[in-house]
Amino acid sequence: MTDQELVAAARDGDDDAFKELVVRYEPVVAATIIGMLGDCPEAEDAGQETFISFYRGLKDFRGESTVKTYLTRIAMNHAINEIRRKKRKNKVFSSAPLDESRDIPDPRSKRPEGPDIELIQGAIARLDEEFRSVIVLRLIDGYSTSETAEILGIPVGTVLSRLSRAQQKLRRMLKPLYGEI
Amino acid sequence: MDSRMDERMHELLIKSLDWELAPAEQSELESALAASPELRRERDELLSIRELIGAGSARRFGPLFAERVMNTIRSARREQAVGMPFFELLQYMFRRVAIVAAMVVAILLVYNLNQGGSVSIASAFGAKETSIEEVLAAPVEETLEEL
Repeated sequence: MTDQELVAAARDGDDDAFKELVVRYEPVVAATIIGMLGDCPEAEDAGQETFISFYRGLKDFRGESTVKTYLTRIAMNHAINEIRRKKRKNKVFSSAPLDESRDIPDPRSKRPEGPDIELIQGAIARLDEEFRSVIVLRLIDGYSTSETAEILGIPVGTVLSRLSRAQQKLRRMLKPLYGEI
Repeated sequence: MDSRMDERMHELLIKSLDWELAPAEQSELESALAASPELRRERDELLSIRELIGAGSARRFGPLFAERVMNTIRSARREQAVGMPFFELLQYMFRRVAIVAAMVVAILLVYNLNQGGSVSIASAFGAKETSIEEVLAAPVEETLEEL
């Protein structure tokens, strides 16, 4: 079944059709949210909230954008909300200066064995939210620069300049790794 | 290349990875790449980073994620039905009960018409038909008892 057929069936109350959409788009939503938040328990919660928001908004989904883009936009909003919620929580409960990256592995301390996935996530998580979002959409989700601009609601020129600065930061952080590819 | 030229080529190089350059810019970058080993090294590093990021991303939540989403949706739906305001709940229930009630009334009407042996509103509702003469002729006690 096509996405549009599944959406129509889900809108008519077919739970199996909606479940099929969840299975189909879990990788896209997971890549966006884990890219933004790292692989933490809050990531799965944000993933669930993304699909629940999509379910609640099924009646309003007119197919002007693809299901993939629509879900990515929702996922990005939930991820950004979660980042802000964490920041607020840290501000309220901690008198120490905020360091988002304190639990994130440092790419420079790469272990000799095992996947580099945590280290890459760690490097991305060290970026500010605005740089992280363009890296996740462009390099992880594989959206074009124009699509990235559309999803984030910012001009293409801003996406290009953020990508440029983000890559320079990542280049410094991942230097110990990229020589091995 | 002077430093201003270096900076411009660096900008063009990064831009070229995410945007189609104008033909003049593209040929300018290609000439610079052919002439500068440093720029070529920079390009290779950038491509490596991009490849590393693209390949190193997690693309699944935990196992049975879809089932958990569906369970959450189902329980939210149940809570929504239970937590409905009184008048909305009344309307919700009425729609479901109305058709059944109409069918029961229709069956009763047909049954009463059959039992009464005549087609009239009174027989349809199962009321006993009594003429005014019968009422006047009956003793008062009997009429009161009937009432």
